[in-house]
Amino acid sequence: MDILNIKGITKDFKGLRALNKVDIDVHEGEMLGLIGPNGSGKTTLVNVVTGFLKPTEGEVIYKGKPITGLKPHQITKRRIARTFQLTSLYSNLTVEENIVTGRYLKMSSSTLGSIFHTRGYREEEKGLRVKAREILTFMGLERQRDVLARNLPFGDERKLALAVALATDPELLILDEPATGMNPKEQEELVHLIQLIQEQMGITIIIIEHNMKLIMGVCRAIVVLDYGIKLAEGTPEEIAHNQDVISAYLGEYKLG
Amino acid sequence: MLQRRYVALIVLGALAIAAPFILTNVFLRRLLVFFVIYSILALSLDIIMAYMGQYSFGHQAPFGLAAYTVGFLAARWRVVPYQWLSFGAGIGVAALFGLAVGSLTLRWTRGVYLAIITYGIGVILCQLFFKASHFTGGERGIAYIPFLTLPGVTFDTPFSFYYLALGFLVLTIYIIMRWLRSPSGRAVIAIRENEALANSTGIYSYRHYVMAFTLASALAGLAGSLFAYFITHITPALFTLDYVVMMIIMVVFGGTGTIGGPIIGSAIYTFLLRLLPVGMDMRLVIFGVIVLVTIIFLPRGIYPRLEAVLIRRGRALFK
Repeated sequence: MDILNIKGITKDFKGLRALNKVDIDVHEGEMLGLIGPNGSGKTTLVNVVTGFLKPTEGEVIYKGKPITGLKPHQITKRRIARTFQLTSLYSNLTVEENIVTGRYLKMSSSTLGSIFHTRGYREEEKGLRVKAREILTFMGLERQRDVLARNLPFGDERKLALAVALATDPELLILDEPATGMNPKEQEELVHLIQLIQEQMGITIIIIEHNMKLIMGVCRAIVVLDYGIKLAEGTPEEIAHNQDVISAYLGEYKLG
Repeated sequence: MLQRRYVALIVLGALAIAAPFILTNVFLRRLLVFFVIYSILALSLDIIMAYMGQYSFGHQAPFGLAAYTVGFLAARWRVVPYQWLSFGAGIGVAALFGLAVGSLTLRWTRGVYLAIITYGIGVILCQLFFKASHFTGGERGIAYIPFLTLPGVTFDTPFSFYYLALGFLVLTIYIIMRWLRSPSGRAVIAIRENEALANSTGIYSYRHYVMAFTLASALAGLAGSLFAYFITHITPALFTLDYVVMMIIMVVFGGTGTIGGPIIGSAIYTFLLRLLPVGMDMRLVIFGVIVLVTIIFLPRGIYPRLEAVLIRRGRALFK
């Protein structure tokens, strides 16, 4: 069954066509890899799906219902979470506070309840901490719980960004180049975590990555974008032997 | 560590309760009351400045509107049988003002633009209250606002009013501290820190910014209601830029983003400006220099440094 259908999405930026009639279907529970050279429209597509950009044309269907044009917070409420290409955290809050803030949608206390310090509020607060620790333990960040996010080493920053997205309790998780800038060992560790998220938590994942080798190893389905057009889709083997893909990637070298 | 905190709180509390017994002269006691009311005002502005990360140059508007609501209901029309109803109505009008201005502006407006719009609203209200004199009493304002009472007490002296205002200051601090731990307070801080990330975790900026702006306005209204009942004679000068500049100085000078900062800022502003043993013009010059030097050497304000020094001294003391 499809969890997400991207139908004929076109996005223009003042005459520049960043996406041109892109169609992608994402099956529930799978990990879909989205690859393509720089400037091919991958991040634009993520921004359209998550409500940060409005498409010029086309529709985004989530579980059979259109979500095109909804605002980011409304889309997260439908249980789609994302991470950002550049690490995006609450840098002046502690690691744990980052997660607790990420649980925003799970908080039901009213402001008045918090001000009067009702029992409901206190219990929810306790639950939030427990859940935050659970997520941190899963991500291997439990020892950094009280560290300010801006003091984390780079690799842990990227992990925390993923943890914050996970804290919203998504069914679909969109990761925009999660392993960028990590060393090979950290990358391997992160990919392993992402696989666990997909397999154990049953979360559907769309992963954007530059590193072909990385993505070929973990995704059964791959979509290739080039100049805003869907160039190819298929299994890693099919993609690796696709003539268009090879020239799109090798073309860069030829010019260089 | 925790115990020392309590010791500090108890000392502060005792000092606050004893203050009017130490400062026995009426003039000083009046300053004490102004200090407490301005502390509430400065704390309310700090919700916008520190936690929303925005500037309002019209924060005197909810303050003045609450004072005038009290003036109209309690002195001019005398329609409300209980003083506390007028008192509450002042806060209500200020909150409605915050809700209206916030809803109209905060969907798109941030930063400089918000500062200019709020400034404009302040100017409009100021003109309105000065010029529409058949309605507002013009420059002469509204006088003879009656006293607040509770069973057994009439708040007709700086001495008694001080304790009333102090009670409301404690309440204000409590509300702000609890709000910061509420989902809405957390959301506001998240938006300030990283709006795109906040939105991507389901936080709707507009809704929470409007709520915070309304809370800030309501608390400014609390200060305004208190102010009207204390001085019993209000004038449109409440709507002038002087008041908002005063609040901003208190917040920045004392230390934004802390509870102690705006309160210390308010104390220094209120007492120093009135008690420097020179003429009024000279006082402003001296005060200006002090503010300038402080901002240069302590850009985060006085309070964070003071706290650090006190903690160090406290440690030495308890060893």
